[in-house]
Amino acid sequence: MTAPVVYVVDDDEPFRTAIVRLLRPKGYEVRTYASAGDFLMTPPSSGAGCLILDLQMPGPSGLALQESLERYEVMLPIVFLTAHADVASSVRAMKAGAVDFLTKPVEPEVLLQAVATALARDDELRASRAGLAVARSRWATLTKRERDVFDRVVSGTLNKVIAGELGITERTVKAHRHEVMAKMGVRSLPELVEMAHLLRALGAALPPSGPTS
Amino acid sequence: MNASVVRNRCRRYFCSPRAASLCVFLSAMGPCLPAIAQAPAVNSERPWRVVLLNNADFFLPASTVMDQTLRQTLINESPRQIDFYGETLDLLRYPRETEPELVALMRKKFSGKHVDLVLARAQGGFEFAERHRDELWPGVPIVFYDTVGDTLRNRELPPNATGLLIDLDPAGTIQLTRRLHPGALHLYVVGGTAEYDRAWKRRVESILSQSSNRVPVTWLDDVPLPRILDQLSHLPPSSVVLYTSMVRDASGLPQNNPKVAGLVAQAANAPVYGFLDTYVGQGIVGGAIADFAAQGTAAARLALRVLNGESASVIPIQMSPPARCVIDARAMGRWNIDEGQLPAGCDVRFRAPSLWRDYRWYVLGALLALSLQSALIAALVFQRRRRHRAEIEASHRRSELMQASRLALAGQLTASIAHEINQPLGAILVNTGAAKGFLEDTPPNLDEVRNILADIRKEDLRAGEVIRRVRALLIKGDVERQPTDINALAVDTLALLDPEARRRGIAIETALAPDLPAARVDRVQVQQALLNLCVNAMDAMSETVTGPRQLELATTAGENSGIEIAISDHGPGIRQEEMPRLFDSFFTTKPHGMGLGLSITRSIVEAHGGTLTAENRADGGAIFRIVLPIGDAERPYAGDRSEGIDDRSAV
Repeated sequence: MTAPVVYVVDDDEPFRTAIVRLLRPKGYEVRTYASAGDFLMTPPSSGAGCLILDLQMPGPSGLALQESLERYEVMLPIVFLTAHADVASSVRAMKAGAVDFLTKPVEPEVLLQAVATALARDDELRASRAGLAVARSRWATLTKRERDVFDRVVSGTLNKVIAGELGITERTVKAHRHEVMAKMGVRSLPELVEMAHLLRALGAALPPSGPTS
Repeated sequence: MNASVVRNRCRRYFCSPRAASLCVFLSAMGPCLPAIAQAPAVNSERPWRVVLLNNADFFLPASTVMDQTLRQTLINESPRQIDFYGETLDLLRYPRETEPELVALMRKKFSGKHVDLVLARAQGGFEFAERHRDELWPGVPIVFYDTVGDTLRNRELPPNATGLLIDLDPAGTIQLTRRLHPGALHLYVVGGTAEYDRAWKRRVESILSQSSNRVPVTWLDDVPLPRILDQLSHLPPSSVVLYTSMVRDASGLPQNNPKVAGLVAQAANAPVYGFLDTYVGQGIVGGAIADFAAQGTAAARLALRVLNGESASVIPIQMSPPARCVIDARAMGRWNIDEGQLPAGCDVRFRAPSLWRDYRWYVLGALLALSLQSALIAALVFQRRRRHRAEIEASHRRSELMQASRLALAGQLTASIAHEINQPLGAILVNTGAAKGFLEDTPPNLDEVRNILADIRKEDLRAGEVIRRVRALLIKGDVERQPTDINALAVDTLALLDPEARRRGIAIETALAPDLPAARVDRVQVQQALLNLCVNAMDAMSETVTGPRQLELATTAGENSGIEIAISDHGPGIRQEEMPRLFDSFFTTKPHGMGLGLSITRSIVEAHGGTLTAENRADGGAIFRIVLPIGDAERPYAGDRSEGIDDRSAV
């Protein structure tokens, strides 16, 4: 397994040197950049990682980089680290999903903790993204009729009612339901409902679940 | 042909004075004619022969005064020349015994000579003339003078004679002593032994005997002068001395009357009075004095009337001006005599020259002018002191204001400054964490720790440098002008501003002239000026969206060996209507500005003898130029005296 990568974007060279010294012995791979532009030129690898971002830099600021990363769906957890923080910037950063907002000088332990938290978040996100991907691929194998049944089952509709709505027999509904459970890889209704939530919550392009014509 | 020849010829033709007018007429036609053209008509007539019969010696002090005036007046006022025949009878020394020989001598001198007038002095002279006129000067009129009226009482005047009486006034003098010394207990009278002296003694005794207010009188005249002087120096208190006359003292030594008066006045421990004009000024207090000079003048005028043809027989005897009070101011002061006690019209002589008395109005005027001037000067000095104090006060305020303005400036830069300090601190702290890790390794990674320590040191110095810059800006202390490298100062200032510029996304460009001469400036103040202008420039660009956000600082060796610092921006520039008030205090275009920055900047620059100007750039934005003199172009600046504590030494 490759080591998680800590990306550091900070215009202060001595600080970059110091943070490399601190993180590398802890088993992280540390990649440093002097500006937001530098970072964007060399996109991060797909492996686990987090971003330590300076707020004030020549050129685009840390906040600008945060925005652009979101746009490009680079889902690295961000720890902001700045020599001078104002309330407005920190609020903006946290709203945009920053893991932490630290000010220099920062205790090494605090910094390490923040990195650990960010990496854990990254793990989580990765896991979530992985779950979603499975759900979506499984969902993709469902036939149209099976998706209709899926939608109605997770919203708690009775088989009889489903049969009525879809104009099929209750027996057929049961068969579809069984098939859906098997295709989605779940054994119980609650698992199925959870998967449906995941698909929706993470904004996956869930096809409309309206009644089929 | 000279004047004496003319006179001789005229005398030959006309021997009578009565024919004088005829002579004038005839001489106009005869041999005198050429002379008329050359000399005044006075010379054309026979001079008048005048015999001066002096009863005493011509060199007696009284005589020198009186006869001198008499002769001078005669010469000045006579229409003709006058031949004087001075004859001294010396009666004070030889009262009678030499008279036959004198007469014989005179007979020889005047036989066959026409004499026009006999002027006889004093009683002695008059009586001699009277006795011997028929023999010596038959038919010649006699005019006597300096004669005391008493001596003519009870006797008839001879024919063809008239004269002038002198008012010698021992009585008035004695009265004056009583007036000035009402509490006097003794009167000492000093006199001599000559006949003249005795005559005065008799007269004074007679006066004193008639006086009602009597004080004991002691005569000091029967011992030689030195003893008299000795006695005078031991007089009892409240004594007054009257000096009469001492032509000769008891030892038979002839004396000079005025001189004795002086000796007496000097020796006596009491005020001394006298009645002869010649005593005044010798040290006596004064007396009732007949003016000898006036006597001489009056006698001359009387003689001229007779010479001019009036008959002496018909001219009544004249009184000379009465004796009047004459006081010696110095003696008066010596005896503490109150001037208010003097009789009215008293002639006070020998006053110490007094500006106040002689030039009262000038003195008053001068004093007034002087006091006005003094008042003016005092007012000016007072005003000057007040202004000086106000200037010091103003300078204090100015330096406080500058300090406040620097604090405000620092406040504006706080964010940047904090950033700038936190950067190295952040690196240091992270480095310590790393170092801890390296030390816990087995074996400890000491090389890394060494590197870290070196970095920590570097970062620490970096933070220190930031603090030094801020501190330098906030120093409150004496204004201190030192030769300063303006380029270095500019770089330092921009370093302070750099984080702020980065925060605002403004680039700073510099164009510093190499080999710039050093300027004698106060670092802190000039840095403040530069900071003000730079922050202004950055503020000006806060709205700049298009175009470069760039601040430019350029130094050049300007004209007239000055240094020019130009700070330009790419903001909207200065509006034309703002230009005139740009440097005024409390004028601002910024929403939260105090309007002091440019005003303070200019006062700093001008205190350094420099100039601050502003203009718009052709391509947009404004440019501010400071021109600082170099070398000795220093101006005295009140701020130099501000009494701040110089804490630079603590840095």
